[in-house]
Amino acid sequence: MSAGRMVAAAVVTAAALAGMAALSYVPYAHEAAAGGELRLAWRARSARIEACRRRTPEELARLPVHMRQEQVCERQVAPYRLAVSLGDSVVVDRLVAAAGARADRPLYVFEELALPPGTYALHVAFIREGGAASDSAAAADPRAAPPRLALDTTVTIAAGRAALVTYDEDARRLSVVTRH
Amino acid sequence: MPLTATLQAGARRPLARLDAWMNRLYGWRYNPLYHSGAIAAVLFLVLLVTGVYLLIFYRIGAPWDSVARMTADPWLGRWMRGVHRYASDAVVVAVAIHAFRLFAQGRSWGPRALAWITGVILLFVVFLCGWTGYVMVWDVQAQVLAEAGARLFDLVPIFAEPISRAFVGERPLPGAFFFLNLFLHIALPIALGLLVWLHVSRVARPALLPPRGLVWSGTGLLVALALAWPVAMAPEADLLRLPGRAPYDLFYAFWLPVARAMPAAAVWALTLAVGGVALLVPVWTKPRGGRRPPPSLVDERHCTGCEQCYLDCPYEAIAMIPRPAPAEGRSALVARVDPALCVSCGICAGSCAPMRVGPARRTGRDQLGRVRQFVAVARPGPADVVVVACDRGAGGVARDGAVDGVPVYAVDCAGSLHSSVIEYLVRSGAGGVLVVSCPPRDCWSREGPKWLEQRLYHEREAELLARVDRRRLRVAYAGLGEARAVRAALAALRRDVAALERAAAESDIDLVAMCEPAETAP
Repeated sequence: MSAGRMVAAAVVTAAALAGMAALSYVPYAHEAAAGGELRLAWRARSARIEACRRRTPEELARLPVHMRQEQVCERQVAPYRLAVSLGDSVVVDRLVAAAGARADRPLYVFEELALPPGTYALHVAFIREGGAASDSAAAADPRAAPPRLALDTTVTIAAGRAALVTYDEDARRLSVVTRH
Repeated sequence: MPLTATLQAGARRPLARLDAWMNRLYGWRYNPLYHSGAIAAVLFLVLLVTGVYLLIFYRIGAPWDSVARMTADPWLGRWMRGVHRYASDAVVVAVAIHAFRLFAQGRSWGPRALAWITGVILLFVVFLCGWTGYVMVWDVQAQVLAEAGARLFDLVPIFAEPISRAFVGERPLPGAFFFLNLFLHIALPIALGLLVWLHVSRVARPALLPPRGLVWSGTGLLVALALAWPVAMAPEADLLRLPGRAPYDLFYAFWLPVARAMPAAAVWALTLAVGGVALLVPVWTKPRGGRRPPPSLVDERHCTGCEQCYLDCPYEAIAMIPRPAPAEGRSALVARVDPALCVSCGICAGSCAPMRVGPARRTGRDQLGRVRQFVAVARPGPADVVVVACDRGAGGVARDGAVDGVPVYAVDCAGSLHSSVIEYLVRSGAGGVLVVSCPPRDCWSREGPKWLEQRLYHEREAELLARVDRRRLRVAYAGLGEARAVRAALAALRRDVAALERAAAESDIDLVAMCEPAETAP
């Protein structure tokens, strides 16, 4: 191999390695660094509403013997309405239903709101729907979240930081976390 | 032309140019593009060694701190981490080149489908391995990778709680998370080992290591890179801090911008679509109907049981079985080809002295019939050189039919060339024969050039007989884009032939009769 070719091979090798190293450190702005974020994330257990009725003799007669259960119950987990406002503007207003394929898991709230840095008047309301039936069901389940959770506070969003609104299951209230 | 064939032809052109360029720089023995699969295997070993070292100092209770301590160690820790990182990047490059080459060369269907499919799964596991590796560091890149991955997995209905919840910042991540991640980072390479075994399970003598020079120079270059461009520590992950602008490893985080811009369901759909297309390549690339090359056949009546085709087959498609009708003076075993494993490379045609093995119309006998016609038309004289060239490489001269005015006798693979063809050409009066093969590690049939050289120069069955003047024979290696190398080799042989005495031409050359095994010869 000639000296010129060896030099060319060395240069190409060096360039390939440098290219690989450069691709190993590609700067990427995952978020707008100048902005901040308000994050709402919690898990809450809701009331399980059970509506039971007795089957009529005709209904039972139509069923195979091994399926003749006299009482049938339909269970559902009461949904909550989440409403979030910053100052006068409503930024979130939606129904939070139970998770899971059969909608029988706890309720999970997860919202990320990109905001410019600043101080905001924050109002969060998390209110159970389902009427009196849900109230009586919740009364029977001490672990169920209160029917109404509210948070009225001012929150300061710093550049590049997230403020988290979460539900404290022990204290049974909403709170804001800005650092550990 | 079907779309897949068009894509493959389109991929072959830049590959041929790149191969030719790299051959000029490094020579075909050390062209890393030819060794991409084996280089990936060596890189796995490098990752294993450096990974074991890093594991000793890694703490799941303080992931970022422990990695930062290793990185701050100027003696060993920093470059071990650097080598580990750059080796993991190089694996992706090597695997991508390997897959691109095999796709372009149409080596992905039929008996090779298992290797292709396991290769795609291997690449996916490599990405998973890299993902867990970067999460281990627990810097801002790890945070973004973990959060993005969690959002994707939240869509899979097998977890009791959304995984994303762990990353909202409610509380610091538990040690159990890092333990599970570390477990995956160790368990996945074990799966890789199993997949590599499956990947090469259908080939004989898998080449798992590149030439020693390439192993050591490659490892040395990784060390040099780790020293020259040491790994840096990004800031520690903080779930309540937005990652902002940070350096990302494109080889493993390439999907982040897409995952960020699209809903999780769309990312899954895209991933499944890309994965599905990649896994179905063996179906897309399978030649249809009459274009499918036929498998080899053994004429068992004339098989001598010498086992040479069985030994030479690069895909273990030939087995030695008891002769169906044993007879006095005949071998107890005969060769039999499993059509499900045969890729129709024709290597066995070159290995059979009695010329009774090979794909239809490509056995040694068929080759002799064809070379007889070739000589009758080309009429090579004592000053002429005949080029025998591989149809798939050799600078593409086989497809042109001639190079610098010299007729070309094309073969499917130089490894399938029966040595009798060369003997016939020399004895019929050609001044010289130039056999142009693909470079050994670029053979579409895996081992063609290796067996060719051994048959011509090292008396491997079916060897070129000693009576053939080796001065009139030359073997050259040239890839598809190296017509210039073929011309140079041709010019050199022409010069050498001109200096030799005049070649004598024989008539009535009957090599077939000569090659008959004693017990079946008339």
